[in-house]
Amino acid sequence: MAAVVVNINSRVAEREAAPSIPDRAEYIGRLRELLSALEADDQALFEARLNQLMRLREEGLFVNLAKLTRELHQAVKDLNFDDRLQQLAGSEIPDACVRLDYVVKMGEDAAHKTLDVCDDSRALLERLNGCVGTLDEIRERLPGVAALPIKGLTLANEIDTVEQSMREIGGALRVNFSTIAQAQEYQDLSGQVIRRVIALVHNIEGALIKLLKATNEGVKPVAVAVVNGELAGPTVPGLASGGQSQQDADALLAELGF
Amino acid sequence: MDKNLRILIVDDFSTMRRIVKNLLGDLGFTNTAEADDGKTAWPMLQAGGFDFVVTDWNMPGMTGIDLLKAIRGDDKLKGLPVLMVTAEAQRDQIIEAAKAGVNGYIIKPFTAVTLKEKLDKIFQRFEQVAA
Repeated sequence: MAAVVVNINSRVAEREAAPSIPDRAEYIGRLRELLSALEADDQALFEARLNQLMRLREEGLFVNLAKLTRELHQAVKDLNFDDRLQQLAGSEIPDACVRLDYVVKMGEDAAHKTLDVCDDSRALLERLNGCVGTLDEIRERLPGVAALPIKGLTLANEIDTVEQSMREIGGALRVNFSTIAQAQEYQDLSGQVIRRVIALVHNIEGALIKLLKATNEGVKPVAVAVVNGELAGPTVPGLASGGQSQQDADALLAELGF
Repeated sequence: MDKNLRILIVDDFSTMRRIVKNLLGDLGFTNTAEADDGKTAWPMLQAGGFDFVVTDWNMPGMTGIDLLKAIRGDDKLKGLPVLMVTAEAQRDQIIEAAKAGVNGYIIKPFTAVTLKEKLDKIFQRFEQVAA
């Protein structure tokens, strides 16, 4: 890659080093004709000669522009940018979008699964509260056992039923906890996918910087603040986004009379 | 405060709506309805019966700030308390929401404690005004 860059540099140097004015003799001839028309006070001829001279100048500009375009195209080709950029734009970026969509879906599915289990666990807790209520009732009936010992058998059966329910609830909660824990496995997969996309973004950044350098000799790419009217979105630690914390927001609102 | 308040939860992410709904449920507010953006929320609010709105800011269709402005600009709804729960944390945005007449501003990610605190504050203020 370095050799190719040197190659471009030398081409640029050649262009800059060329000392003579192109078509020097032609310019001298045209200028003499223009001067003689002016001296002869021939208005029509003067205009015609002047136009010819300007056309000559324009043609030179176009030739140079065409040459520059060809060189730029060649430089991009030499650096394999055509293929690389085509590959990035044609397949890797759409591919990354599909991957990121998948990450969003995985996260959403996991969140719903977890929330489903939370809802189910709430219902189980309600049942557990019911069991506590039943045990309270049983306790209140305990003194009656002394008077009529046979009642002890009924109470023992009722306690067995409550115990059975509590075991079931406990088992169901245990299953729910492992479901919640397992639902977090998406994080590993989504983490891997996101890392790959980060690598792709770095590749694109590198390719664009090289392209900038090749087409804009000596001009360093500068970070330009993106102003596109879009919302800033979540504050990300480590990025200077000017995002406020809840405390900052509270203080700001207090200042505004909230 | 009246736990039977009818609350509209507006967020484009169904998971966030469920989380807010659950948190409100834990605080005793079980009379809730959901909308996935301002556009869906607006006819629901117009139909009446809501006492409180919890809305996200950034949503496709109609954003939360536009919904807030529409509520404040509507004769029937202008007094409705609106709590914004959003990831938008820029100073200018908070000021914009305040100017538009928001009653509370919560930055995501948030905790159940923050939600309770802001709700209490809003109800306290409304009770003061009513008294």
